[in-house]
Amino acid sequence: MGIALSRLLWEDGWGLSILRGSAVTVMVGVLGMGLGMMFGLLLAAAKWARVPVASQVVDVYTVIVRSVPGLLVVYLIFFGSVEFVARVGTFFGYADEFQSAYSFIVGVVSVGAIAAAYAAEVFRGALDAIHPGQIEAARAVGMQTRKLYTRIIGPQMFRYALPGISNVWQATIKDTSLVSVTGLAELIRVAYIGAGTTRQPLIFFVIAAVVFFVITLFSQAAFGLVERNLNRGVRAV
Amino acid sequence: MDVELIQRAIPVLLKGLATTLEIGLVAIVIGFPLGLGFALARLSSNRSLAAFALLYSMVFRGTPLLVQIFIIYFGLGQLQFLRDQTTFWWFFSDGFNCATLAITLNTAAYTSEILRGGLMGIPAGEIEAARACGMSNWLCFRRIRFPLAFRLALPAYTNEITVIVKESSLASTVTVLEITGLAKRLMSETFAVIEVFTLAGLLYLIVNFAVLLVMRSWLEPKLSMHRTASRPVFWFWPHRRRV
Amino acid sequence: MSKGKLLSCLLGLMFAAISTSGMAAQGTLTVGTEGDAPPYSMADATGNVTGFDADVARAICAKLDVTCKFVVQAFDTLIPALDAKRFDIIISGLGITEERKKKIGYSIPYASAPQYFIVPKGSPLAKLTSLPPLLTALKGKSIGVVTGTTYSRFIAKNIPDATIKSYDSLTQMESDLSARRFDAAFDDGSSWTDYLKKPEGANFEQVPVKVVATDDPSTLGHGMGVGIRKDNQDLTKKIDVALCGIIKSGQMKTMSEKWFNDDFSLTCK
Repeated sequence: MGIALSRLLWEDGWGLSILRGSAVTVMVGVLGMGLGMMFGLLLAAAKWARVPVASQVVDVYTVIVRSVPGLLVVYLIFFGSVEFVARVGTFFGYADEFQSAYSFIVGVVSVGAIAAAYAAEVFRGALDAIHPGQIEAARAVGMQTRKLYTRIIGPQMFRYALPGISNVWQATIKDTSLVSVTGLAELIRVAYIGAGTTRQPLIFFVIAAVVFFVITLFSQAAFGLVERNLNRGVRAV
Repeated sequence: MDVELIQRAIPVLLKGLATTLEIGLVAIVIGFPLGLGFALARLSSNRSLAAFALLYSMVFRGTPLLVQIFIIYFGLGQLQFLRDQTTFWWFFSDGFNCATLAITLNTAAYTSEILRGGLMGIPAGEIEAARACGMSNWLCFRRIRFPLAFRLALPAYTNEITVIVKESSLASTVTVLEITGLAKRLMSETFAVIEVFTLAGLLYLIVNFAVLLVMRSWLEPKLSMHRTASRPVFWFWPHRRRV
Repeated sequence: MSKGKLLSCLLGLMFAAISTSGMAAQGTLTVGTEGDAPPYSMADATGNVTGFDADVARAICAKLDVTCKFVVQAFDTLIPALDAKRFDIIISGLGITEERKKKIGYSIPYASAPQYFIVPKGSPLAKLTSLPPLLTALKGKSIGVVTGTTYSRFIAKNIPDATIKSYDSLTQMESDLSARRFDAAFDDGSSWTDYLKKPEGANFEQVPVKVVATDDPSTLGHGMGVGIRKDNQDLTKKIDVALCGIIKSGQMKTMSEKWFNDDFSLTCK
């Protein structure tokens, strides 16, 4: 069995395809998460600062995206936005490249949109957890707003948000599996093609599961490290 | 907005709604006790049992549900000796059974984490008092630990139920005709992509709203009646809470 | 860099981009195909497409003196994606039906293959020789088809009590057929010649009832054509001319015999 496996992976070239697929998966996850965090931070800030119309819009957005299946979000963005991406692509003179990267962009945008909804909730909780007395004190001392955000609010918010963000990341990296329906050559799609061609689905999908498992373990360790780093000097309650 | 299209789409999608609800019900009815079992196993003093439960939880939470569905549907279908067993094959040949099994196992893992958190959050004093009264393990679990843990875990479990409803859409990848599956088929017949998928999304929204409404506005207050004498409140108007 | 310099740099870049955008996408024809339906369209993990449809596409591109670029997607997503300008044409065994004509335009039909049912060897259905008894015999059975094809419409219309198992791709349907997950499958005869040769098709046989487009043209359509957007009349005319040339030169017949062991090409008027 081991010989058959190694033959499959090395001689038939599937090992390389799987590695490439994993790289695409991680890229979609990382870029999507980055997009989601940026957007989520904006949404959370709008809600926390109680901006009049924006808060309601943020509420509607998070409720809808968190209630609707990720698969539908991917389908909607995949079919609904081809025109938009094509126009953006031609504008910048890279129509060809944009078309071939279309699945990738759709993947990143849909994964990011879902991550943003969850991240917004996490960031909002973190912002709420900051003691308002600290902000009052900062203003009383005459601190400029920019310093207030970078010295007081920012660091504390990231520290409180970190466990929640690590959860959002775990969900995001698994959501990248949904992007396989758009045809993007990420890990699950490669496993699917391999399973179909070689008629050996079990081994391909188990390998895919193992890769995801390894990514998850890695992420957990990485987040744990960052958490310990950020919590340096904080008194254990 | 094509009204005729919407009129044609609604009865089709409602049929899919029935299948979605079927999947969700089975996942909750079987997944909850299973998750409870795994939670208790994690907390038991038997080391190997706890290790097994931990492994189960890590595997099913660390891999995507889509891969789990594919392994059960395609992977098990590949093994010839399994195909030759009539009862086994009668169950696993159907996409609905495979997808529901995968969703159930997956939710059992998450439920076990949620219930473990609930069980660990019970104040130690209550358990000590129960033992001091001479309650047996089973009586203590039935009267003290489980009700308290359930109440603590309810908000998180409500979340998990909405996740189950959303995850049922993945069953469409293995020929199950629930809402998403029928929406795709409808889309390939009518080519009205945005309308069909928006309608499907609306159906999921309605189901999740209903779940949240029942849980947050009825079940949670009902379990916390000893603490709050106020009327039930809608979850999205928190400022009206009077506790 | 000062703010002013940065702004002027950005403006310069945008200007350069706009002026060069006219040079993009000349000399290539993007072809949408499903990549998962042997022997019409097979794609491997690197995106390289082979099969009858790929050969037809390359022949057309050679005649039009452009390079072919393939985009692989699930069959039922091809028409919406064409509409959304994701590619220029569809070549994927796309049957010409009235319903599809409402949405997209077509070239002249270039091939037409009969359809067959596939059942496990020794099934009583394999002994039937004409269509009406076959349709009655299939009542209540489960039938596998590919989502969005004319074949799935045919089954839905003519055998309404059958349980239809819709698959996103032909290979997925064939895999489940080998696993006996449903009773019968319905697709092109050309797909079946390919399948029955493979080891997993060894225990299956074709029901000797030939279903042709004239049996039910409202669902089965009038042969296969190249799908093109309705507003792209210029491209349609060019492709019609190219197809006619390919058919008249006998190239279509050679390609058909190469992949199907039979001549399924149509004549060009």
